[in-house]
Amino acid sequence: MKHAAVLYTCIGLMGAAAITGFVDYTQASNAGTLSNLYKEELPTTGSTLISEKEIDLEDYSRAALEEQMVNDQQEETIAEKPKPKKPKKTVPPPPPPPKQKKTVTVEVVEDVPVAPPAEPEVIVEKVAPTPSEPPAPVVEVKAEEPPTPATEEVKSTRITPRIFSRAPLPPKVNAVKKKKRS
Amino acid sequence: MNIRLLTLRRTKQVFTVTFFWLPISFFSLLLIWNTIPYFNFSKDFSFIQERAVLFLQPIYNWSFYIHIFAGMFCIGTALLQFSSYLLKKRKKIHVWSGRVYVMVVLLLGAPTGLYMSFFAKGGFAERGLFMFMAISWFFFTLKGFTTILNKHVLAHKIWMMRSYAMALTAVTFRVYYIILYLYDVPLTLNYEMSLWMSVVGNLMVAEYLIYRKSKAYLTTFTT
Repeated sequence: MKHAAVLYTCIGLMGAAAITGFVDYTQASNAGTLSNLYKEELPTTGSTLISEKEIDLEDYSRAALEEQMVNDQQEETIAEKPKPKKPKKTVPPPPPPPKQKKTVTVEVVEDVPVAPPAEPEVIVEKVAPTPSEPPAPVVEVKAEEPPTPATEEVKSTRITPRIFSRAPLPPKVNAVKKKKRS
Repeated sequence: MNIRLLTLRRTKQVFTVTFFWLPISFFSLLLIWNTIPYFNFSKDFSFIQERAVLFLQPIYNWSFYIHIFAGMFCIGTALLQFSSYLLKKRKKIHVWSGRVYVMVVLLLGAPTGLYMSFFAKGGFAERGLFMFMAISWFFFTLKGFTTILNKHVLAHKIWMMRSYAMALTAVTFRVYYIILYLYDVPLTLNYEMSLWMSVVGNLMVAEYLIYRKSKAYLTTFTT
């Protein structure tokens, strides 16, 4: 008797749910709101489970950092020496004061690689070690930037346990950022 | 008994636990864990905000909260029901968790699910599928309940396996959804595919397991 009551209650509830659902569905379809029940664009709120974050690769690239460092160094040099300097010289002047010139005199030892200087355009003059040898040609070495990939693929979503919830997943975006060279 | 047969049986048990019950338990508990935050009744969830128009209706609003509350208990208690250890050694636990499961499904989960299925996401077919899920979940559970009241244990097992297959669609749907999402399937297609795969797949697995379980019983009709 008790079980029968429970069963009939359950069946009654199902019937009520079906009727109520059908009535509400019919009302919504008559009102024309049935197609507007779901938002097309997902809102981005604080509780969004997967935050889509784009990483600006340019800011963190090594080339940008080196460029910034070079700029800083140039600013410091300008602050120290207010006199205008000659842009560059392939042939150094006869009495070269090393502090005032932008040329760096390096005695080249063979089998030792020349380290790239910090400044972008630096003239490295090869000085002859002995007077008997013919004068070595002037070698111009430019500070090279490290190779940076043109495009880098960033996956904007991570798989976390929170992804296993009722929240709709965001559209998957493979953020491809092209490195801008300024 | 033959030692080889015993070893084979033991290996089968270990494989079943490792590759079937362990993932199911993990994802079920994860689903329960992710459901808990909804009970601060905040609207600041993307699931709710996506259905903001629907949640303005008090019936839909309460149906949702009742449904997820029922789902938590249903999935939690169902995990205990298929343990042969509990069934043999702690039968009281099986009986009481079974009662909770049946009452929660019949009184709360299935009716609210049926109401919400009218407004389910997707097309007409998906709404129909949700309705089928709610009705079949209710019917399978009801049959499982009535068969055990009549002391028909095998039929009770069969109907409860079908009922659990329907309950587990909440878990398998999310698993398929995430897998297809990782394979860059468009979201709408992903949603529909995951839904159909979870319902049809779960039913097929359940029927296969039922066939295996009751094979010996079924052969009694043929011979």
